[in-house]
Amino acid sequence: MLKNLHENKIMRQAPEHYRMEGGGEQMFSSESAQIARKYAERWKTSDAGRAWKSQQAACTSRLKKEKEETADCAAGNVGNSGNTGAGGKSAAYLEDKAEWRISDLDSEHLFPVGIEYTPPARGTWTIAHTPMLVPGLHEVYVCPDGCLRGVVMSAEEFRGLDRFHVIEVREPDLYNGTLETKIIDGVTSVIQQIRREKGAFPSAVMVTTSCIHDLMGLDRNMVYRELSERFPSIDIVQGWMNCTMRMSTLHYEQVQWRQNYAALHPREKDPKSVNIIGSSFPLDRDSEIVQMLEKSGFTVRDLPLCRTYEEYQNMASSSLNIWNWVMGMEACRDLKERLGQKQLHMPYPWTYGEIRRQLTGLHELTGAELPDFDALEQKAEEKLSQAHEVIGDTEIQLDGVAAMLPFQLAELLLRHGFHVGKIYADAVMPEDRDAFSRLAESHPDLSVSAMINFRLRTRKCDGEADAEAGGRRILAVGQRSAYFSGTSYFVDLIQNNGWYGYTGICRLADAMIDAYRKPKDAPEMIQIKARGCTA
Amino acid sequence: MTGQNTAAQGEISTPDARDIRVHTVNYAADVSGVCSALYELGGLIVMHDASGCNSTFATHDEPRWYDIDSMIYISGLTEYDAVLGGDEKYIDDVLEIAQERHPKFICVFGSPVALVMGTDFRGIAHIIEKRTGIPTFSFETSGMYTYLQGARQAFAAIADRFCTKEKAEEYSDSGNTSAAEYTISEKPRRRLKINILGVTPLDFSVAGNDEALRAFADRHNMELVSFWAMGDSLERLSMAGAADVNLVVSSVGIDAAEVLKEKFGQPYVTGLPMSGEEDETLAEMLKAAEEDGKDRVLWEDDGACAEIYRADPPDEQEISDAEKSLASEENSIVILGETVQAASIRRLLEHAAAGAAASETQGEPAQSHVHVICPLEDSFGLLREDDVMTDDEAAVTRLANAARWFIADPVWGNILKKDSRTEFIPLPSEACSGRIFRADIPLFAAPDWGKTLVGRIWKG
Repeated sequence: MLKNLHENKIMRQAPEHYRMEGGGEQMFSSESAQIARKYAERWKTSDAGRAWKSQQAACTSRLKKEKEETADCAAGNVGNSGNTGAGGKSAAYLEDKAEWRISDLDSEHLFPVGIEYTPPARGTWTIAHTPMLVPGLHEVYVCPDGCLRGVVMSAEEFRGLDRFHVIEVREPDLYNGTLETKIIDGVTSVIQQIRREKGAFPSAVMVTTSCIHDLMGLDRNMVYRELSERFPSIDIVQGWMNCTMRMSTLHYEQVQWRQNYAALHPREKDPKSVNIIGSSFPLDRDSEIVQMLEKSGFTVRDLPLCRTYEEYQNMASSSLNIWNWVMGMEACRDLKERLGQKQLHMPYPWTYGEIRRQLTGLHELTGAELPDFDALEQKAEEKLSQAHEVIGDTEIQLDGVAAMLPFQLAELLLRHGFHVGKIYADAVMPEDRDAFSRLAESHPDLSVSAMINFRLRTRKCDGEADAEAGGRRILAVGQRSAYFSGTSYFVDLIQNNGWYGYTGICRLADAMIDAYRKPKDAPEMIQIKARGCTA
Repeated sequence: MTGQNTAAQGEISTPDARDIRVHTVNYAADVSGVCSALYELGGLIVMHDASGCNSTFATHDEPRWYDIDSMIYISGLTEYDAVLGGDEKYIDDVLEIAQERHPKFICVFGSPVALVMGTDFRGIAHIIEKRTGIPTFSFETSGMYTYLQGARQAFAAIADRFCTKEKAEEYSDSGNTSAAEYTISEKPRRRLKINILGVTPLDFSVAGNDEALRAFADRHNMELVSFWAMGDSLERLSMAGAADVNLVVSSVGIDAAEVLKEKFGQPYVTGLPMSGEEDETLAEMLKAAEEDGKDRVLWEDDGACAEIYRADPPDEQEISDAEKSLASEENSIVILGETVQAASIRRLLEHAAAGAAASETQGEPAQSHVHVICPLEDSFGLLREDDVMTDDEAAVTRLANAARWFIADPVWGNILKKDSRTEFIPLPSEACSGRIFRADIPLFAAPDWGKTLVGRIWKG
């Protein structure tokens, strides 16, 4: 058994946060953020800080001149070709070449893919976090140091090291022929240690390999077959951390979500059981989907709400899987093939017409009774109206990490009189393209900015300060837009927060009022990785 | 699930069970070392990788990411690039940024995927430099080594490329040098000019240890020419040749010190001023090094450098011997950490134990046996023969649980067994536990800290 550090004389005097095993708040603290901020303040007046400022000023001045020339070209004042916009049209960019008017962009190729920047908004869950939703599952990552560091530190921060273990791939492993045996023996050793320390074998172990294994041609079948034979009572689940699969047919996170359900064993089907698939956050229990189904006698199962391995296994008895965003697509395909579960795609909608269409589809498939659409719509209208009364023409910026369909959301807000100034998105989901086109027609000057383009790193992030100086305020919807705009007034919305339909609109309206009235500590809040993840 | 696990009847033999971590984390990787060292110098740094390395660096290894801009990016390597090759795209993308942002220099280096692809970074750097005219470096990284291997290359490259005689003269001509004097061997001398090498947030965080090190120069009336590299610009670093002697405060600065020695004949002294006595000794050593041109190490009383070079992991016999030795002594201490820091701590503890600091602690410190465990790849000949070079969790678990005291990052506290006699003293490091314990990182690079530590061990 491990030593309880609190029983130790020295550690008893140490703060609670040294405890790293299971439960409690995540370990990134506001003090950490404040210390970094203080250093930055000091740095600004240092030799390095002054040199950087001067270097950037020269660059900004040069780019400003170039931008003016571009604008002239686009307006036809200079030359005759103008500038080629991100969508291939003759146009002038806005802030920089990573920000354009929506009418100058092509929804299928929003921004060119290239060198990337990673903004410090970390609330989304990664592939190291989502398997933790499976109760009792232990993760074993097998990767080189560089990749491993990110996932194991994630686990450390959510106090999950007691369910998270690693095997480091060293350079000699690539050429000494022990790539496979290292995994087999390493995982065996980890499992045996878990049994020694906890007195029992874990229910499931997800063994995740990295891109290097795929490139080296790891004999996966042999590895996982051998592990399953050694531990037949444990569900050995394959995992892939292949970050190069971002532009591939299947995104690596889709593969991860598929594997999160891979330990489900076939069970007798319950026609009155429905699963929600593929989200880190539980679908709002007050949403129309859950309410419709539960009122009609269905059990609605959702991985984030499973508390035991048996509850998780009960998901195999459901007859229908509902997925609300693209990460659930591959999992639903796999579950249909393996367990014969039907699937229904209900992407988080923000327009009344789409909400009605989706819920009607659910009704037709399950027979669940439809709610009173008119009443729900009326309530959503009232909530939006209340929000507008408070927020008025305050500029709103929103992002594609906050809402799965940000252009639908922007359309909803614009139609209700809100002043949406900018949308941050690197791509447009197929379900959002109609809204994008409508916005390009109705609000051609709406600004669309990339999120991970390299230019975002050096772009000024003090839009809020400028706004405040002008007696205005920016209200952000989402962590990334909060960071880029520099505002403290933001709705902490991540991947829709599980908010769906009319209820989702009402929740958002309330959250916008709240965010407008109460500033938040953005650096502290948005730097926490995987909001809400606990071991 | 009706099967019976083979292991239920007994343990399965696992001859290839290596490099496993069940309760701890691995250290920041080489790619993070490069980025951390060069963060503030105005260069364009582009890791060739899919995405994870940059996100890991930015979240867990780099406290400056949120508040201080830089030009550190990831190439966004895709599966297709990995299979079909995408060097030209990588080069074009770097050129696009260089053209727009005019960086002071450019760095290209890779991750495990680039290693397997066999990317020729040297060639790529050559092409980029030729096309842009901007100094361009390539580094040998693979994401499979610790930050030490990245940061040492980065500092050495800066010293090699930017530190010139002309720049050193520029420093002297600019009136930076003062006429103040100090005395060695009865001869009056001008103020000693030093560079401090090897300061990154990975080892020193951002909680004030950088300021404490700058204060060392002030305290001893020395002139700080350059500070590598927190708070000083590339321009300032390029003048390092104007210094008389270098103070290396972590192992990531040793290669740069060697380069500067080669270029300007500057000797260097290795060590951290963690107690009043060490503070004075280091100052004296710097002056003496300037006098006789010889390198020195703080924890070698005669001033000579240790010759032991240890880069191989220990075998079972070594671990077993060390374990027995630690268990047999009443006050044995294990310090796990970066070499210079750990060895400087050992020195102050041994001096205290020997009674040298008895007046400071006002106690009766007992003799003790202090082992250093270095979890990084290279000890630079700075460790003793019976020290251990390993980051293996199983080996460290045995040694830590055999000792009376265990000083390490809080993450390593996880390996202490319930029935062990070991008392744990947490000493957080961003290279190990990242941002989690930043608020608990003490001002260890200051003279008062040693007294606190000694007091805690022998009076706690």
